[in-house]
Amino acid sequence: MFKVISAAKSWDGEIDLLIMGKNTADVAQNAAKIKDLSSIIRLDGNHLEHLLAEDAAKIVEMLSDSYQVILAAHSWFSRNFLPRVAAILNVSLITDVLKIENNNVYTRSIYAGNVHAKIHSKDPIQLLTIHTSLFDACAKDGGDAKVIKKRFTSTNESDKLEVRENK
Amino acid sequence: MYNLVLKKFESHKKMKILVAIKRVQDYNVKVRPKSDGSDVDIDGIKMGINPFDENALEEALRLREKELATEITVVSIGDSKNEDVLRHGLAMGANRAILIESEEYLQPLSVAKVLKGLVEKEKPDLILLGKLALDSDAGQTGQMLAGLLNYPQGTFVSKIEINNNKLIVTREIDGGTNILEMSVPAVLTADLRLNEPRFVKLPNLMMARKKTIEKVKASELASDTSTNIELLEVSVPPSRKAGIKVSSAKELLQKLKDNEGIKL
Repeated sequence: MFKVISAAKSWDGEIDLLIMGKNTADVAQNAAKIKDLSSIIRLDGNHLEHLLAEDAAKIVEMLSDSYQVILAAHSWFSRNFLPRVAAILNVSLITDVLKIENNNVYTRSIYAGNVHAKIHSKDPIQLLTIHTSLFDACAKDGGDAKVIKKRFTSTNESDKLEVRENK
Repeated sequence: MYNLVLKKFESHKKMKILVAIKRVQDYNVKVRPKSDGSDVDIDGIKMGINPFDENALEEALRLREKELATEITVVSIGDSKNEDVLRHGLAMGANRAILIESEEYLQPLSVAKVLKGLVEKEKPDLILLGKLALDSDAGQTGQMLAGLLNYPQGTFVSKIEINNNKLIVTREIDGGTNILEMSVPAVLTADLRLNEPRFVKLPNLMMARKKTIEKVKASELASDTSTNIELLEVSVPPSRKAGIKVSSAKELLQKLKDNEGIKL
């Protein structure tokens, strides 16, 4: 989280943090202390405990109007749902970004790490996952971001899915 | 008793499955950039079916062997060179093969748009893809296709079961697995752990050569396959620094603190 926030500082503008899940109050309170953040958007509920890609994508879609850049750490969680977000928003997703340069130019690895590609994206929303070990963490305190609670109800489509087990 | 058997028989709707396969470099080949850095140099290197896509196709064949699927169609996007992976798919046992003709190398979003067009035409109950392609390392097409179709999705799948016409899907995630239940139509992406793909027998390959490959133009399936992504340059990654030997755990901790910025 701290490394993703520091990656987000590559662009000018305010940075908000989206937290989705169950019992997220403490996480949100701690995150509010991060100096670089303007606000914390918090979506909480039992139905978000095992967050499904279908729901996570709808939540990000619902919020996407206000943002020009959306980033996440490159993990099984983001790899699962952010491509879905990208398709819904009709933009590309740039995964596992190694380096962020000016003007939406990125370096990422291809061919199983044998080649680095430098690419430029002209998409209206820059959507990316970052290779966190190559980014420094941001300061963890000194801030006072406001926590904004939002609601999301699962849709019919995702009611078809239920998590039966999570080890 | 008779009723019970009948009910069980009825409860399995036989699925039509679409498997999307990509032609990529052989996994043993180390791909290099061209000398001018404009793109990668894949001239003359060994190409074949993307390994994860082969797992996806294998699973479709096993579902058909369990009489849970009827027709399996393999589809690939590209030029006539892609016929080799489609014939490989036919030799493995697919019923039909479709080549979606496109001269340009499409980005994942465009691939998903083209596949969406085919899904609307073919109306499969299940769409299986590999979770990732060895060339672009993007891992997006399946999820994008599910998003465009508004279908449920299951990614990084290591096990597929069917119960009462619902898919029970085991997924590989960081630190464990998670199990999802979903209705069809759905999109699933295969992990390598899903199965061990069968070897293609030579007679099957010979027979597959005689089969027809259906063709459709990408532009007939999706009106817009343009992208906002531009490739500026490819390069060889900087070589890794050689490792060092430390004499004690204390020295290791000190090195981690000083050189890697790890707070202890």
